Amino acid sequence: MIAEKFQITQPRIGWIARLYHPQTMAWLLVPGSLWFLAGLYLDGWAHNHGKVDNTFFTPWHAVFYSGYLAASLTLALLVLITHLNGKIWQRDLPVSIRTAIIAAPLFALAGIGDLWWHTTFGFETGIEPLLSPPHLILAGSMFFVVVANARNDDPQQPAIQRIPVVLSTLAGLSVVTFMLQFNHPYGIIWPETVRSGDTGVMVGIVGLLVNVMLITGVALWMQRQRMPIGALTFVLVANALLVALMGDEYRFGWGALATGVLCELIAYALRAQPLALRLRVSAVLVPTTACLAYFGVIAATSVVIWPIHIWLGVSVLAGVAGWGLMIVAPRIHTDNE
Amino acid sequence: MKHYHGISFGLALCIIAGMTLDAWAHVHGATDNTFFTPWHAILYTGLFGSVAWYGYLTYRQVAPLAAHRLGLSMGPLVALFGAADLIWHSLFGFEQDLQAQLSPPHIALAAVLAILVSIPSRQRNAHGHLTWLGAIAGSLAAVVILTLLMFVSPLTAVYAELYSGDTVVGLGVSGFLLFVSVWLIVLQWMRRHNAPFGAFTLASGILGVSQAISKGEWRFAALLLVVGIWAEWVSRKTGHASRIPALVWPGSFALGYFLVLKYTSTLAWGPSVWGGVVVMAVAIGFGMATFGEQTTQLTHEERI
Repeated sequence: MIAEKFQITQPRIGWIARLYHPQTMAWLLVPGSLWFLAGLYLDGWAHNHGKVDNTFFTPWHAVFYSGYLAASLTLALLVLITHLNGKIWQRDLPVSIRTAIIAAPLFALAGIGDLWWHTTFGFETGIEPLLSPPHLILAGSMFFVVVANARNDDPQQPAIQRIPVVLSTLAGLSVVTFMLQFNHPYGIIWPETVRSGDTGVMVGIVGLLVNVMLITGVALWMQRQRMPIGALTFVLVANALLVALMGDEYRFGWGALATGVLCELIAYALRAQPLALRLRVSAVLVPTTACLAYFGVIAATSVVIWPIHIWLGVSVLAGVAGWGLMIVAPRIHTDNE
Repeated sequence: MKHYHGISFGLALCIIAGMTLDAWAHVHGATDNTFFTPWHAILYTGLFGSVAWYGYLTYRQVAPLAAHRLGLSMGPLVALFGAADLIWHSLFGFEQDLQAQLSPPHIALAAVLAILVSIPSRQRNAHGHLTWLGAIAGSLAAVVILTLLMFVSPLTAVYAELYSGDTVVGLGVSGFLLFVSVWLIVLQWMRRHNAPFGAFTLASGILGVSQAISKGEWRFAALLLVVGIWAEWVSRKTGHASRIPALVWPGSFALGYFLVLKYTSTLAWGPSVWGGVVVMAVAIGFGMATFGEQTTQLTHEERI
């Protein structure tokens, strides 16, 4: 489908025609997206480590906003390339790139909305910056910009050509996990926090459940897209390390590695089975393994204070919730349907 | 064969009634330390009755046979997890409060209950659409799951009216998003299977009432019912393939929830928090609709 859309009708200059190719466009989008993402996490790291003052002009903001500029200019370049090849971007580019082209100016508009919000309701404190509507719209538009390659993908391509979509998946997941920091399991490590009481336990449980469900959704999507071997492990580990930057909790990278490797090994062992069955297995396996790996890392490096009823119960509950996620998962069609 | 489905549904209702009454009894101190309570009697009658009934339907080869076989297969699982629960108690002692809600054998048993209750939802009418009884059974299965999450459900634990620190706000926000996700899964599932008109309202009402029974928060049950009617209207106006309902439903519920709080008690969260929750709820709806809308065409090797 994508290849058909990229058939050029009016090539004018040779190199412009060569740029109008799904793979070339995919690679062109990568640097801007990663730069943008790096800026986000650098700024988050600076905020969490007291490296910011009350001014707007910080090195971290410089990286972040120049990343936005780079990603936006790349998208503008793709519009230009499409136009020069006699095509219409609204019709001929993959839907994820089209959405990114709309989302880029929305980001700027949300910035203006943020100024209005601050003027009307004052500056946010505590966890409010992660929840304020203009910030969420900023994050939402950033999400669509960095996942521009999500539908610009062909599962038949060799693994090396699919690196852009894998990086796009990582960037999309990482934008969401950044905004969920207010209750991320790598933030306050509730299972090792003494005297946290029932509230601490509940916060820990819910934070863990929300995050493993997010990971499960991404894992199912990757499996359905037939991502190359190692892609899931890479995405999980890189995302874990990015989130770990905020609180220097790098030990959880090992948990993500164990989760990714185990889930990919089992998926590989089941490769001859129907896709529907493999997805169901992953829907239960990924969240359960992610929870157990999380508690395993804590047990290996400090101590799990939660009783076994809770930590094992949450792991089982995550598996049940993953099964529930399959209810809204995409249907799998055979040619007979 | 209609009466077969009626009996299956009646037994599912029996399970839910037993479970909800048991939860109510625990919250209101109407239990002692024995196993033999009226609530357990209703619950286990429904449970064992269902397994026996699905055994009979499997023996008689009544359609949908796969669903009835699934129901029958829950019998050994109930025995297995029941035995696991006994071993668990002897190894690790009896659980208290939250621990009891989250203990692994209890969760496994709850998952079995949810599957048993959901069996009637696998029936379809002559057009392949979901039937009324099926729609209700699907909602009841969600009730089982929400009972497990009651400790953070915004319908039973109203964190948004507490002036408290960031930790509790984070808990309230996450709980709200979890509840919205489960509710949306039910509505999306009904939409996908062409549920009859009125099913969204009924499902929302069932979820609201089941949550309200234990803690008496009837204002939110009423809200869910109203949002259910609104969901019905939006769905009818936008058509089957539209993504708009998945955005409007959670947004309306979130806005309505905070309005109800503001006018019936206190809304302690600032606009940056409650406004953000509304946006996040809409984002969940969008994510769920986008995640579920695509279909996967199997490759030649994957085709079975």
